[in-house]
Amino acid sequence: MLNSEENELHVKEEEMPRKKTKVSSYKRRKPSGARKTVSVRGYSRGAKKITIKYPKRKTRKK
Amino acid sequence: MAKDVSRFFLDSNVILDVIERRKNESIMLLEYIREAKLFCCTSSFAHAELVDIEQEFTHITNMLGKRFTLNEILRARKQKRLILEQRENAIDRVKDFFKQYRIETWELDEKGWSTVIEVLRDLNVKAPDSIHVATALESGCTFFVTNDEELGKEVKKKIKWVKPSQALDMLKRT
Repeated sequence: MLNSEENELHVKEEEMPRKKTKVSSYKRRKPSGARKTVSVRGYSRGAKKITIKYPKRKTRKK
Repeated sequence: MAKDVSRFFLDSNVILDVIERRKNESIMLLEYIREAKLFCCTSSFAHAELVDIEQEFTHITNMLGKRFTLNEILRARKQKRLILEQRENAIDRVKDFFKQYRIETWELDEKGWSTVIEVLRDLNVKAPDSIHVATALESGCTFFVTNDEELGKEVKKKIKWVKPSQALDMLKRT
């Protein structure tokens, strides 16, 4: 008797519909939350700051 | 003009004024921006343009040293014949300058390049200038600083154009 009740309970848990969590398209893109480009006071983000990696000098600086 | 919302896009001619120490207003503006820790940037294309111009200066100086005539120099202007060390020195001058004045370099992405085409549709500007204008718009700059009057007159349809002296006056007034 006890066993069948437990089973019933178990089945009920499984049948419970899983709550769907809505993941925004933004989070799907970048889970870290960091943006690829910088938004500045509502300006469209069509540019980003870059750091130019200069090649190492082949000649000695005088 | 509130200083905290002032974001300056610097055209290559303004930066060149300061690298070559040729215009006081530009030098004073960049000194002010640096002291006040204001935002200023330029495009990655302007960065490359500046290296090219620095190399061209070295090339012309070489030719003058070899006693070429002005006509000969002008004809051979685009035929850079520099040794590696001279090319590297030009790169270093620009690199040191950007570091000294904390000028940010901004690059366009896919959306930014659409803005370039938009700028070419809306304004009478050449391709290199359209890249500068689009970068200024996309980086959220509030002022486009250039000495080029022809460009400035077109640019002001999209973004506020100021000459270095005007920008300096505005900053000092606030």
